[in-house]
Amino acid sequence: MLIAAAGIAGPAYGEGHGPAFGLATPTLARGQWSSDTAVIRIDTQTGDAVAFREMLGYGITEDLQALLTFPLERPDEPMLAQTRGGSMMGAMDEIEASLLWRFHRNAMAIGTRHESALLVGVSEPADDTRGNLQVGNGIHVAAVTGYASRSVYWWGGGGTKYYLKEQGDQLGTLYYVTGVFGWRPPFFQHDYPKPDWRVFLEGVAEHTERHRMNGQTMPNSGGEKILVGPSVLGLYGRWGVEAGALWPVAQSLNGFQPEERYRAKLVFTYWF
Amino acid sequence: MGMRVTQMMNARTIFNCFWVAGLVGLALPVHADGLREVEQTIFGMDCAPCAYGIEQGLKKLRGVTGVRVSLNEGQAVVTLAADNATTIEDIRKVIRNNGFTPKAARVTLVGTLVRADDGIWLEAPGLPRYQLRASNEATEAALRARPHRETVKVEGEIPETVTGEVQVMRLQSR
Repeated sequence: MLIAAAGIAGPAYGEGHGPAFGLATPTLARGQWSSDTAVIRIDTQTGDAVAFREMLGYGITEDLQALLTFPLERPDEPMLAQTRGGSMMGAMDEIEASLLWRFHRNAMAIGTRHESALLVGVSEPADDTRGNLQVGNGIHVAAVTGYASRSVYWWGGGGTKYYLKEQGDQLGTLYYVTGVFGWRPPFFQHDYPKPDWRVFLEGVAEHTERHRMNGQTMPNSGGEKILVGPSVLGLYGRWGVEAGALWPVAQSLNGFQPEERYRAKLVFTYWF
Repeated sequence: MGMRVTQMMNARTIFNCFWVAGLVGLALPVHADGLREVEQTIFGMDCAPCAYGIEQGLKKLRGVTGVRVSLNEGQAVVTLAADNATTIEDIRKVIRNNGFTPKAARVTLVGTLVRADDGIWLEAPGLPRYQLRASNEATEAALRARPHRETVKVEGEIPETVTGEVQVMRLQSR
């Protein structure tokens, strides 16, 4: 129950070309499909949860991308109330459909560009209840800006996820910001078609409001977290693999809630 | 006997037809017109899937015989078969559809040099006309010296924003 009430979200966006946890801007080519299959593990003081998720992407234009993400296997604990767990994959136990719009793009030089994107999505819970709470549909909005080159990357962004009321219950709204710094050392700067590797340092800060049950605020819910950690991304042709982990550097949770110990993610990507 | 002579005559007639046809074929101009090689500079391309998407898109264009994409050099090198109808705009459209920015391109073109009141042009069947502009005094002289309707091979640069113009760097008769 305590775990179920934890409800601290772990947002993040950018599978495929970008970081594992933080928001990022890359979009698909016009008419291109992609598949991201992820396993996400969140470990807390009182147990862990593992979820398998799938994300399908389609490039409507080179600057507008549709995304559908859903659980392949539901989390084995109800604790992951609002935890997005990683990237554009939405909350752990939800089906989410989104549009990613890259509204600004400036290619300054060979291999270099600065761009910004807006992400808007709606979600539906895979199960009506989470713990003892009725879960409503959600609305997610995020914005991100960033810089990519052959050697250095950075992205900064933030967003919010709002849940509608469901039979008097309501999950707390999530607010988050993410920051990513990426580096491709010289010995990784091989030319195409050789494998392409890069490493990231990612940071996620989250604030979640308290849940409401039957209209009453739940004291053991909501709070703040700041997590930091590395990730590595390898790309080869139409394949990509990414692994990363975040550790909390600060946690302030309301009431009695188990603290998060780490968050880990492994993603396989395929571009059609 | 008469029948055998007739058979021999027929064989000789057929042989002569092939021989004459061969001569005529040699006398006709051999066309290899069109865009033959493009080194297209690309801005903003930073990752292997980006290069992969561009490579696959370019390979689907008509007449393309080879594609090499370099992330470090920021370019796609496209080689094309003779008499293809692919244009520089077709190549740049693939790059734009992948979300990147095509800049100036180094090209090799084969076509017919045409003198007109509004300039010197290169024409090839199925392609838009390219206006030829000299990039230096040597190519200016070479352009002036070429006769009207001569088949030429042009090496030059197509600017980023003007797709119907070639800054000629080298000009050869075909």
